[in-house]
Amino acid sequence: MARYVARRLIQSLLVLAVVLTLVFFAGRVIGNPAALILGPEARAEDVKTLEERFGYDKPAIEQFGRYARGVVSGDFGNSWWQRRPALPMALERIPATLQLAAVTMLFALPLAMILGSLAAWKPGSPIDKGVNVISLTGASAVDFWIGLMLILFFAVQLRLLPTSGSGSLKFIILPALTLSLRPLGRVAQVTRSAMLDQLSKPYIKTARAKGFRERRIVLGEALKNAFIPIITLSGDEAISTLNGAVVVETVFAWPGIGLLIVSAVTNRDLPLIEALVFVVAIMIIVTNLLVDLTYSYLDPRVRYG
Amino acid sequence: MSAPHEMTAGDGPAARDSGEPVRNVTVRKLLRALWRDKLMLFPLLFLVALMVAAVGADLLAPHDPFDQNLRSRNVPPMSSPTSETSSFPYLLGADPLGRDLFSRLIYGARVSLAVGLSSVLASGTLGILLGLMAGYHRGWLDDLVMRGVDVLMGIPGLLLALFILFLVGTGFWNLVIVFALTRWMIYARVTRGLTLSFREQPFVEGAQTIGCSDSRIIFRHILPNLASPILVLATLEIAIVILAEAGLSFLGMGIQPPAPTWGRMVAEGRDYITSAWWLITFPGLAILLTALSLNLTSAWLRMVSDPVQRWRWFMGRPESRPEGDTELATAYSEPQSSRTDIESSEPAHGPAANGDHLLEVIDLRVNFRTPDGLLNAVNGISYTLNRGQTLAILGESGSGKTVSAEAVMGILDSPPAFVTGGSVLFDGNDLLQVSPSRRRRLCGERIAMIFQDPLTALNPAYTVGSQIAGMFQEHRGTSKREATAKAVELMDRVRIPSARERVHDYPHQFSGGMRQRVMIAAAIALDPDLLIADEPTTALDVTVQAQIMELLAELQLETGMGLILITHDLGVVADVADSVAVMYAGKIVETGPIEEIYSRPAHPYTKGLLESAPRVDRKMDSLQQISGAPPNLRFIPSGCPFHPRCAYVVDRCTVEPPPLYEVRHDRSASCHRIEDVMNVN
Repeated sequence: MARYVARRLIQSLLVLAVVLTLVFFAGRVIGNPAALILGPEARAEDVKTLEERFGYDKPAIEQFGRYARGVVSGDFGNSWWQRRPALPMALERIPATLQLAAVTMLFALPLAMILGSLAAWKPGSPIDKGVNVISLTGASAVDFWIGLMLILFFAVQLRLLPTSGSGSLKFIILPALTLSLRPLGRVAQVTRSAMLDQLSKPYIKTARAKGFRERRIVLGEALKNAFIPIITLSGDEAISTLNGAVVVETVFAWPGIGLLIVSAVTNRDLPLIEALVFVVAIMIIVTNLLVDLTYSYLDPRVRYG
Repeated sequence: MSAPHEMTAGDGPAARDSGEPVRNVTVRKLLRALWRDKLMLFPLLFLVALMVAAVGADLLAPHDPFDQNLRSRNVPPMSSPTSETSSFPYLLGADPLGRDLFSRLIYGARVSLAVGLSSVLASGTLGILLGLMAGYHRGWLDDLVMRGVDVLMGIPGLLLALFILFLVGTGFWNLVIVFALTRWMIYARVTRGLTLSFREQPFVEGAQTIGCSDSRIIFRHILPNLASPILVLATLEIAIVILAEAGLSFLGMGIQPPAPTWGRMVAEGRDYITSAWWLITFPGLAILLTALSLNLTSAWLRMVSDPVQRWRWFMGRPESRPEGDTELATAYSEPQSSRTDIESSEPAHGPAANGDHLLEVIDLRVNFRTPDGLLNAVNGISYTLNRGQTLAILGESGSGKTVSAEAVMGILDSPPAFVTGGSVLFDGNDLLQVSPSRRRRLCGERIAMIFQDPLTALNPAYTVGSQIAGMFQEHRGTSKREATAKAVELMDRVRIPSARERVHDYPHQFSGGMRQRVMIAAAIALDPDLLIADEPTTALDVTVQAQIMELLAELQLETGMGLILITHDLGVVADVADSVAVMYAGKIVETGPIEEIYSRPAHPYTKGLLESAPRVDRKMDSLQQISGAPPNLRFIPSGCPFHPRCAYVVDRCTVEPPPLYEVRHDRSASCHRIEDVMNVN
């Protein structure tokens, strides 16, 4: 097990190195950092002055060496916008985003799995149709708009919840609800099809022949085997909450990674973007690693195989 | 949009001539499906209206979308305009600059659709080309493309899009390029998968043998067959791109002002959320309805183009699981025509000749309800079994032997299978009449069943010990610890070596024979009165087969349970069975004591089965085959169902179904020419 984890970690580090290299060359070679800072209307001599000041006129290899040394020591340079080290700025936003993602997934996953299982147990039942509607809504959800509509209803009309910001538990309800729509629908749908698949397997017939109760057959026998595709998708969904987080954190002024990404983009802050890519890449790698570890925990064939 | 072209491509002469699997959507097929699913008119009409609005925005919009009018700032829906240019009311209100919201929405449709369609065209072309090359040429190209797919699919798309747009700047073409770069993977994956499967099919191999060039094969033979899956995918992708474009617009990274976009309209309305609700409500609704319509259309197209999906849809409809069986059994029960045969099918030797049978199946009938019609799987079979006896049910696959056993057990998959008549008397009680919960408790406790392939019949996620122990926990409420101890005893009893150590192992760690022993251990855990073994040795090695049969016979001797052995293999049952029932096309065609039937079969089918099996007890020059194939259960032949394959067929056989004639007091056969068949030996 430990060897497996070690191997995965080394692979992940390689991927990380490749990603950071690509980001560097995309930033310095495709884009022109000085022109980026100054905007499209900048005069050529201003761009040149800035290039000299930050060393952007040096050969790409030399710049890369400096960049790589910086990355290894955790130094991505100062944010152009806030004029302080970029990496700590990105790191300090992690807890808020993790908190939001955790609440979202803790709400969406169990609910989706129960709904999907019930739908698969009785195809064509009202619950099954409900799951169809939920997943269709989730797939069509305009997250930023739904967030605003929730604000309009719960915060503006009913005055039950705060419109935006962070602080007490109340603040997380609306953003988490908005963010959970998509994973709820997709996980319910995948649970349904994975469960339909498992419920048609011969071992289900065995369980019926053994006289097991339906609840045990569905939740005990089938669901444990359906977990693999569900966990795979849940991992993907956890990663794509980062997509949603960008928009939802903007709508609700939630001080997480997503909001910082938008700020970095609108402020044309290249060092901050590079630090954010690094942080996001690590979050994705860790999530994938967790999913892999869950596999081996759930499926004995993986564990021993 | 390339879709209309692709839709008809599958109907082209190239496809028809080479006998390719044309499973494509044609316009006519679509119209017919639309007639059936009339609710689909709503999303389709919405999409048509959207396209009309986008194309004819200049004519349709009542106001100039850029026309600012400070006197009508944030006026609510249905207000009359104060400007002179147009007297048309502000249907959906006006924005903070006094511009007509409805007109801006119409122009916004133009942006959304243009970005959506162009991006999907670009990403689709890129993905399909890469997928075709990867799937057709395989090798390093395939590795490279698929590795790229995996890596890109693992990156949150919106973040990647934001990053690229940050570097290259926004604008229509930049957006299209970004979406092409971030969304081609799914097309590549689907195309590659389908291409790989088409490669192996006769129409492509045929084209290769006659020397078609690769590009001709790809574009004339493979591409047309991809049309409908790609169409389904593309529709879905348009929705995804439109949603993503709206999100980017909302963040200020989409198409830049002054062009009105739905996403930016929502963003602009945000500041007025308390005072002017219409500013965010209507543009958001427009995005939502567009995405919803596209998603619905995609799901519908998938259903129309893929028969399997429709089958699933159909399967989903009927009411529920086996609970429905009992009601149906009474509702559908037919006059029990072949009752007279029961006595004759009763085995003569054995202790209980007093009619006090352990199991008595009378005129059991099972139908499969499929979208293509009714399928008669079991057509009125009757047999009896006493304690301590073994009945072998013999037949080819499709003869109804497994279905009838599952009906006895009460574990048919309903839908599509339903018991439509007859009774199953177990210890004098009709199992088809008892409540589902009582029947469930009988399963495992008094009737047990083991299955053909012990690997799939055991749950891969649980240890073998827990699968045996589950019997005690479920039926007796035994504690886990005690149940596990009993599981070890049972594993010893079925002679699994070092049971104590292996009780926590998983099924995949056992050999086939050992797995079947685990199945048997679980089945006999609660000392059942009846054990049904459905082809228990078919999936096993020949040497292991004998050991398993020996074990079953031994356990039967110890416990005195009744045993039903379902098999297609005469050799397997010869030594252990007392009597045999031969099934053909859902009916029992011959039944009686096993030695009798082995030495002098009375039905040509039994005779055929015997002659096609190698035997040690008789000198044989060659193995004979039964000519022809088992009948299609939807069209069972008239008269005797076996007549098309029978060597003894006479005119009478084609019209008059033979009843079960009594051959002797303890055996019977369903053939008009019993004497001839028996005397030919």
